[in-house]
This record gives sequence, structure tokens and C-alpha cells, in this order.
Amino acid sequence: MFEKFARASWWKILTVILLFYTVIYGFLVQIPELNILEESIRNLFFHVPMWFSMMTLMSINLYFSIAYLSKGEKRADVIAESAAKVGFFMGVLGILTGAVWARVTWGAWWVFAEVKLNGAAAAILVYAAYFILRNSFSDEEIKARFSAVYAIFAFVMFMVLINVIPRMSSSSLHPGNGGNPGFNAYDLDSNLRTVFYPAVLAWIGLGLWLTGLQVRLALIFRKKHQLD
Amino acid sequence: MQKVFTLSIFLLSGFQMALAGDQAVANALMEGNKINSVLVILSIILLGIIAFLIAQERKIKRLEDNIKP
Repeated sequence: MFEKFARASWWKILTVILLFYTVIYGFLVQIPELNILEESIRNLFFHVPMWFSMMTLMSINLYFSIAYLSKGEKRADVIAESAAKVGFFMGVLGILTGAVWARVTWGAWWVFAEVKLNGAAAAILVYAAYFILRNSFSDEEIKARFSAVYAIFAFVMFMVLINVIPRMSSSSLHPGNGGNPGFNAYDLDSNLRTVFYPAVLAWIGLGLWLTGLQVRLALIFRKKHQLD
Repeated sequence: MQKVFTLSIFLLSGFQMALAGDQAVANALMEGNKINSVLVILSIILLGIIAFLIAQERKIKRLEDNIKP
């Protein structure tokens, strides 16, 4: 099903349109007058959707890891690995865009006391370990099985580090965490929403497109080398 | 393939960071419609990324057709 979706064109065309809309209109849209945030609020169209994209891709990684464990189909492992690769890439972009935003609004590239930043860094490391684990096995079957089990653990850790601990923490600089109100409550006006929601779809679409290409390429490689 | 893509997307992010990240830069860009030039550059980079992805899409399609029994 995923491969069929990866070959379809309609959603890729939609992604391209939304990406252009985000990049162009994102810099032209009238923004609300916000203290401290000022023009940097436009980063909302990049930083936050990149994390959403990572979460979507890691959910795909989890789904296909479980599918591999229950059915033992190698294709499921290929999809899981590809989704994790692109998700990791989106996470790195999320960290970089976040670091720039932090410099402007909080005065430092990295605030070590900020629970969500540390959680994001730890989550990235958890997935880095996933790739190290994969590369440490030469047997295809063992590699896929161990990776699938680890992927379940990694996803739980990812969600806890990104979404649970920061919300439980008593102090956080991020909106919606540490008792702070979320963006929705005070910053996100209707103008920002006209770009933010399409931006979320655009970055998720780009992530899915890259994953689809990775999957198809990996399957071609496997067929060519008769690995199945 | 991935290196070119990574470089392009980081360039795109770099522009975005420079714009969104600095109030003085943002204000300067808004004067005299300089923002339009930046948007053109951003669009060209994005166009490059999209063209690259479409090229990969075609290449993979060709490989898939060749490998079919």
C-alpha cells in the first residue's frame, strides 16, 4: 500500500504547491505585532512543521516495524528504515531552525536548562542509535528483527522526551510546555494560520516524498542483488 | 544524490534562518522591496530541489521498468 502511495503523483503536486506557498507567502504574510518574537515568528512555518514531519515519519517507522515483527515481510523493514532516515533528517533541520530561533528570542543558540531542547537532542541520539544498531549486524534477518524491536522502544522514548517530559516540567521556555500557554492561545492569529497549516502539510508531504524515493531505490537494489 | 539534496535544503533553511532569525535583517529586507529579490532566490533554490526530486522520480521509474521480469 505504501509503495502504491509512493508512486502516485497527485499528492506530490500538492506538496510542491504548498511548499512554494509556504516559502513565498510565509515571508509576505502580515504578522501580528509580537513582543520579542517579532519577525522571527515566521520561523513557525519551518521549525514546527519539520518536527511534525519527523513525528509522522517516525510513526510510519513504528507502524512498519510492528508490521515486520508480525508478518516478517522484508518490505516492511525497508519502509521502516527509509522513514527513520528521512525522519532523522527532518529532526536535524528542526534542531537547526530551533537553534536560530532560540538565539533571537532567548539570546543563545542552545539553552542547556531548557528541557525540550535537551529532550529533542536526546531523541535525535535515540534514533542515531537505531542506525548504529542496524549497521552492527550483517545478517539481514537479525538486523531487521532487532531494529524493529528497538524502533518500538525508540518511538516511545521519542514521544516521552518531546511531548511528555517538557509538559510535566515546571519550567520551560517553549510555548505549551512547563505551564506556558501554547502558541494557539496567544500568538497564532488567523493570518499565521493561513500559512502554518499548509506548511505542516507541505513539510510532511516532502518527508513522505523523500521516504517514497528511498523505499523504491532500496527495493530496486534488493531486486538487483537478489536479496529477497 | 543525497549530498546535493542535503546541501540545497540546508541552503534554503539558511536563507530562512537569516530572514526569520534577525530583526535588523528582516527590517532591512522589508525596505525598498529587497524581500522580492530574496524570494526569487528562495524560489529558485526550491525549484532546484523540486526539479532534482522529479529527476530522481524519473530515474527510479526507469530502473523499476528495467528490473521488472
